[in-house]
Amino acid sequence: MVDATFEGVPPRMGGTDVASAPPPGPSNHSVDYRGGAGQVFRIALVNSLLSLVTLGIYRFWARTRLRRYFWSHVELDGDPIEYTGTGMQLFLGFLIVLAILVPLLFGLEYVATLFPQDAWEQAAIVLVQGIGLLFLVQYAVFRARRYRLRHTRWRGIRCDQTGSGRRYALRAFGYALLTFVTLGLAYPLFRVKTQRFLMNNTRIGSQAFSFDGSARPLFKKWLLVWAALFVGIVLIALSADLSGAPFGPDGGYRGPLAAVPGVGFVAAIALLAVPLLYAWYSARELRYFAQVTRFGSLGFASGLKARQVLIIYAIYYLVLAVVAGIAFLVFSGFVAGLQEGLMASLGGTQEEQMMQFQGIVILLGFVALLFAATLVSIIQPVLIMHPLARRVIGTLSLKGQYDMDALLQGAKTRERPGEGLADALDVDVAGF
Amino acid sequence: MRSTSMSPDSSAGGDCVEASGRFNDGQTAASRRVSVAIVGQRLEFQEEQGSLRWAWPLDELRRVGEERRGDDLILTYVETPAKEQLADARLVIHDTAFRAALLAAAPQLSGGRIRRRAIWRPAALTLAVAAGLVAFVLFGLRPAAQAVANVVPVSWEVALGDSVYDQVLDYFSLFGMGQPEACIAEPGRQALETLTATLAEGDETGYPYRVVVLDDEMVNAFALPGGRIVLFRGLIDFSERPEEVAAVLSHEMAHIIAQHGVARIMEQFGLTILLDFVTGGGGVITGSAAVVLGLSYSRHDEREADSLGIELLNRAGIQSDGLATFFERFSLERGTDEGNLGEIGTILSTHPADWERIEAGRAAARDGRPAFTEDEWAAVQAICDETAPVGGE
Repeated sequence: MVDATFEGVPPRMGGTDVASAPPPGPSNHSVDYRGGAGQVFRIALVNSLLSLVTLGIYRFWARTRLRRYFWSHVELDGDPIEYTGTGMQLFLGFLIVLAILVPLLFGLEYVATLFPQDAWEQAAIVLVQGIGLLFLVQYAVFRARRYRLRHTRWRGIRCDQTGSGRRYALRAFGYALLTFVTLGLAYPLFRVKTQRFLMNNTRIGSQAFSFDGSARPLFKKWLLVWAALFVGIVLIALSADLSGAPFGPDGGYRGPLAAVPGVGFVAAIALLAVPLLYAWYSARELRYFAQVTRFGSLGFASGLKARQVLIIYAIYYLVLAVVAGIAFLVFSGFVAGLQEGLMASLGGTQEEQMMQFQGIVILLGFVALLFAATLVSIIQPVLIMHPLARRVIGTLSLKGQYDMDALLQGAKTRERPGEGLADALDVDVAGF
Repeated sequence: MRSTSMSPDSSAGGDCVEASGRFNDGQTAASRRVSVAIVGQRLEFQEEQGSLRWAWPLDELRRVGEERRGDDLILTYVETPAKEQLADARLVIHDTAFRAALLAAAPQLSGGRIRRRAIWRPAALTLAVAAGLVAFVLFGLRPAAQAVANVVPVSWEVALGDSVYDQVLDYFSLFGMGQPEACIAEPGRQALETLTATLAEGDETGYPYRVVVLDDEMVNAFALPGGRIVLFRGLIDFSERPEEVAAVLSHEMAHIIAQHGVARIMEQFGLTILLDFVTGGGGVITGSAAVVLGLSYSRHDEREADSLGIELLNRAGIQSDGLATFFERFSLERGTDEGNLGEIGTILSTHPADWERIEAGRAAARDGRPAFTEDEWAAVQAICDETAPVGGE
């Protein structure tokens, strides 16, 4: 009896894995987010200060702490999901990528200096690099998402992402390229195709999600965003007047609409509308994605509104502007005081004083940059990640019933380092 | 439900506290109601509706989700190969009094302890790594870059120097200064070539030195990897004695021999990559840090080139006090006097303070023969009487 094994055999219900898509009705299942801004702030503060004094190396543990916090405050049917990843695994993943990438970059740099290139060859090299990077980023997204899912549990049941990372990267790369070639028009297609691959390969235990969306319903909405951007850029190009500029041939470029009044104004309105329209599109996309996603017999519905997202970003940028403004005033006051006090106290010629003064200002500027970066890393989790999680999860509801007896444990995967590539490429998957 | 009661029949003699909770067996996502009790050194729980019972030793309990708000307690089993499946199980207890009793009986479950371990242990580790990294950048990067520079073939250095040379000339046009012409008066070139060859005899690295004088009033000179040396007319005009031009020339040759250019390229590249990746990007910050560090390496290079340059002159038996006298006048001209270079002014400068170079130059100087004969010196001073577009020299 001292042995801690099961005393009885737990009853195993026959798992019905097949989801035959019944009409999602009312549900007694729930999903909630219960995090608190104050706690997120405390974690972000400690994280940022430790990251600052460790030259950023602490960031792997910082990320882990934030994830653990956010994960553990998302509850499905009253039970939290769990993040089981560790900072050390992320750090090792980073070291592995470093060990591969650094010699590679050195080698490329070495080869590049062996062959002097003309402007066209340089452009070709940049293009090839860009294409390679585009592919790697997709791969990094897949791998990072897989690491996160494989380190997520609910009621002890493991989540997983199946499928081949290379196949995903190839497909996503293809649609990203198509988006690029069509000047952004094909973006909804890219979104739907990648989402389909990812969701169809996302599992909680024995049950996979299924995604049955198409790009068509999203195209019209996307077209509005795209048109605002396109009109804005084209009008700017047509109305630009650079004829007074000192560069360029023949005294600079002058657009054919430069003399027409109001064109520049229209262009500015169009461009200012782009972020608003994009937020609207993103909210609609999320609602559509929820609607066409299934988890076995469970369906989803999202009521997210664009203004809920926009207000989050508006507050964030407002706070950022106010703090940065105060910091700027303090900084410039400090510099002015310095100029009067210090310049007088320094001996030597005026030129010599000036040089030292400039040196101090450069050092102060460096400090100001560090301050700004730290500020962003403190307030971003509090003012973006936390309220966004609250809004997105708060507006999400589940439809239909699911027999949890039939949701079986998933296969165990080997523990290994992760996300190194995503860190190296600064790939950001959903803000985490 | 969710109440605490003292059990009337405490078997192990200690307190026996009870609560109700939810249990997931780790094989399905089903949630069972269980009643939980601490019995001696074990946590015992059984289905409220059913007959299944479990007993977990307290010291093999592990806590998850300790960062959660509220006072629930999620427990699982310490993962061992033998009990892998048990580590998938979860027991959720939502009861303040029970939680307190359990934490007292199994102190490894204390959230504070777990948190401290999750923060301060990695903090100490990463701080140590960061310190090691700073130490490497300050003391290890230069030797490492120098070691890489040592194995680079001379032909590559020459190709690199040539392409940088073209770029430098392009910059002149870019900043609207107009590309300066090369000074090609034959006697002057001959004199410079002779001096260069004499100096090169004291060194076995065998770089193909090519000295060019450009027709510009700048008092400056620079060296490029692989043997290119550029002197500006302003520098020759400013020099009052042949030994001063010789000092500058030997200083530039020293840069080439010591492979400072290649080492600097390796260093900057390594530093940028290191800072960028290690700190996780933030281009502007790492960029400015790289510049400040690069400047400090640069001052190191200048000191080394000063002393190696004087050594080249001494080996060739040429009077080597030119560096000191050159900088004495040069610093007066710029309006700098010895006491007035503050710390920050030096930190943000590519070259060491003048007084430092003058003192070091004086200390290392030896007597010797003149660098040029009087005829040669006159020819060098007149080298820009005849000019041609660069590249045609």
